[in-house]
Amino acid sequence: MDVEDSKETAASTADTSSSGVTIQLISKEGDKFPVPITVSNMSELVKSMMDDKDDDDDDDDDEDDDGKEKITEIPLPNVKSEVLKKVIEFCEHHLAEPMTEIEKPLKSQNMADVVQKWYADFVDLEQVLLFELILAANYMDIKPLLDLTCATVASMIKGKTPDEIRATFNITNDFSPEEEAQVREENKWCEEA
Amino acid sequence: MSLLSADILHQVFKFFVSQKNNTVDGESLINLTQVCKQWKTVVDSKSLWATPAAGSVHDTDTNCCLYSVYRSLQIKEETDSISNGKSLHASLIGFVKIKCYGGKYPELYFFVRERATGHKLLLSINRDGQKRRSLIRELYVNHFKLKDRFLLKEGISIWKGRVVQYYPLRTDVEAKSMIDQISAKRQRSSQNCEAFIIQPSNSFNLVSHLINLEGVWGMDYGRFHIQGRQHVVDWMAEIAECFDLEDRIIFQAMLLFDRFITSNDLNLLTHGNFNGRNQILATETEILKQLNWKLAYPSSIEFFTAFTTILGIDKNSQFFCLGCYILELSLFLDTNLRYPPSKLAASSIVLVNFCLRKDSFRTLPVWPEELEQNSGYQLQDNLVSCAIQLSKEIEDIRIIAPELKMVHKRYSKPSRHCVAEIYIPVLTSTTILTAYE
Repeated sequence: MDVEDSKETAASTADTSSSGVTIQLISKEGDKFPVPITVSNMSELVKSMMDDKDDDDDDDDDEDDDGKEKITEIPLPNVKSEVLKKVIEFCEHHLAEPMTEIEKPLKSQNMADVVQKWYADFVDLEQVLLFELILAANYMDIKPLLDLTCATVASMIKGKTPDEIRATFNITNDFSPEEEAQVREENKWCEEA
Repeated sequence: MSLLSADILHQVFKFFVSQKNNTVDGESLINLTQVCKQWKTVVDSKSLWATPAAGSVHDTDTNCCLYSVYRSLQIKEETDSISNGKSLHASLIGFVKIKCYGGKYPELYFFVRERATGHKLLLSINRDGQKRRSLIRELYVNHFKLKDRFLLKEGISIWKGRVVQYYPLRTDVEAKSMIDQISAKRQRSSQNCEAFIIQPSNSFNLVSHLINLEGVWGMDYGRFHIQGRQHVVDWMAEIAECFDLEDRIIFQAMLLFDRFITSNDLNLLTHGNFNGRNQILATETEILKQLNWKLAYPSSIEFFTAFTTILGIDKNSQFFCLGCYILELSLFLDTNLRYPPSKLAASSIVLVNFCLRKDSFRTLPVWPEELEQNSGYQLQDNLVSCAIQLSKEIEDIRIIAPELKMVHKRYSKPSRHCVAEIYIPVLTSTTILTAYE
C-alpha cells in the first residue's frame, strides 16, 4: 500500500508535463472536453477514430499544413457529460498510476481489497451512474475501466442470496414456481456431491 | 439492471470464473442462476466456461470443480436409443472413458440421471458432429484438469486392447455394472484393436536408462539464447551432408558444443587459425578436459529413436523422417537450450502426431500410453509447455531463417518423404489437451 500511495503523488506532475496534441471530446449534450492525446488514446474507439482522421487529412490537403496545434474534435453522442467527466478522470489517473489487474474469481465484496484505494473510491458511485459508466467504457472500449466497473458490480453480487440480488438491482423474478424448482434441482446436484 | 445487456453481464460474471486456473466461485454462480432467466442463460453460456489456458487446479473447493464440469455439460443430445432423439434433461453422475487403440478417439460415456423420471442412463456421444465435438471437448478439458481433485476413486483395467477408465461419482456398484454392459456390447463389434499394442520389451529399459543417464549428468537447461549458435548448427549440417554422416552426429556435436560453451566462450573456438596438427590436438584435449571426458550424453534423436521403437514405427516411414526433421530444426531454437533432450523428443512425437493427424494411418493418441509409462512423462504435466514452445519457434524459424536452407534441402528428398513440405501447426494448450492425450 505504501508504494501505491507514493505513486499517487506522481499523478499531478504527469498531468502538467504531458504536452502536445489536444483532443476535444464532445459529449451527448455538446459540451467540449479538451484532453491530451495520451489520455484520449486510452479509448480504443477514439484511437481508431483518430487513425481514420489522419488518413483523411492526407487525402484532402485543403488545410494549412503547418498549423502546429491542430485541435481535433471527437463526438461521443452516446456519452453524457457527467459520465464523460468520470471517464476522463479515470484515464488521467490510470496514466499516472496504472490499475493492478483484478484477481478472478473475485475474492472480496469490498473493492478496496482487490484494487488500489483510488480506484475503489472512484467506483463508489450511485448504481445508475455506475451502469452508465460501464456502458461508456464498453462503447469507448476502455478495457481497464470496463474491468473495474464490472468487477464492482460483481462485488455487489457476491455473497448475496438470489432474493437480495434481485432487491439490489431491482430485477423482477421471471421464473415460474416450477421453473424455479427445476433450477434448484439442477443446482442441488453440485451442492450435495 | 435491465440496462445491462447479456454482453455486459458476461463481463461481470467473468469475475466469478478464473480462466487461468479453472477456479470458480461456485456459491455465487449458483445464486446467479436463480435470479432471473436472462442471468441463468448467461451463466450457462459456453463462452463463460471456455478454458483456454492450461494450469493446475488449486485453492479450489471441490464443489466448485464439480459445478464447472456440470455446467460445461449441457446434455441436450445423445445417440442412445433410450430417448428417441428428443432432447434430454439430465444431471451428470459420472463418466466412463474407453480408449481403443484401433479406433481414432477414445469414447466417452456419460452416466446421467434423467431429471423427469429419475432414471439413470448411460449416454455415448461420438465425435462425428461438430456440435458434439465441442461438447466433449469442454467436458474433457475440465475432466482432465480436475480428475485428481474430485474423482473419488478410479479403476483402470485393460480389456481387449482398450484401456477402460471408470470414474465413479456416486456409487461404485452402479457404474461397475455399466462398465460390464459396455464391455459386453463392445465385445461383439471389435476384434481389430489388439494390433497396436506391440511392445518390444528391450526398448523399455532403453528409455528409462537414457532418462536416468540424463538425470545423472544433470545438465543445466536454464540457459538462453547464444549469439551465433545458429550458424554453428548450419555449418555442422553442411559438414554432415558433405561427408554423408549419420544424422545423430549433428545432435551429439551440438550437445558437446552447448556443454562446452556454457563454461567457456566462443572465442576459444573461433579466434585463431589452427595451424598444424598439434594445435588441433591441443584444442581437442582442452575441450575434452572441460567436458570431463564424458561424451556420450543421450541426445534428442536417441530418445526419439527409442520412443519410435516402442511404437513399432519404421525408420523409413514418414513419421520417423518428420520427427527427425523437427528435431533437426529444433537444434536452431532456444527450446533446445531450455528443455532436456528427452522432453524435446517426446514433444516432437506429440507434434508429429498433430501434423499427420489427418492421415488414416495415424490412429495413436498424440502422446501414447506406452510412452507415458516408459518415460514417466505426462502430457499435461511435463510436455505441454515444451511442445507449445517447440511448435511456435518452428513456425517462426521456418518463415524467417535463411540458415535453414541446408536442413530444408536434406529433408526435401523423396527418400525422406519430402517431409520439409509438411505443414507444422502451432499448438496451444487447448489443442493439445483436447486431443485425448
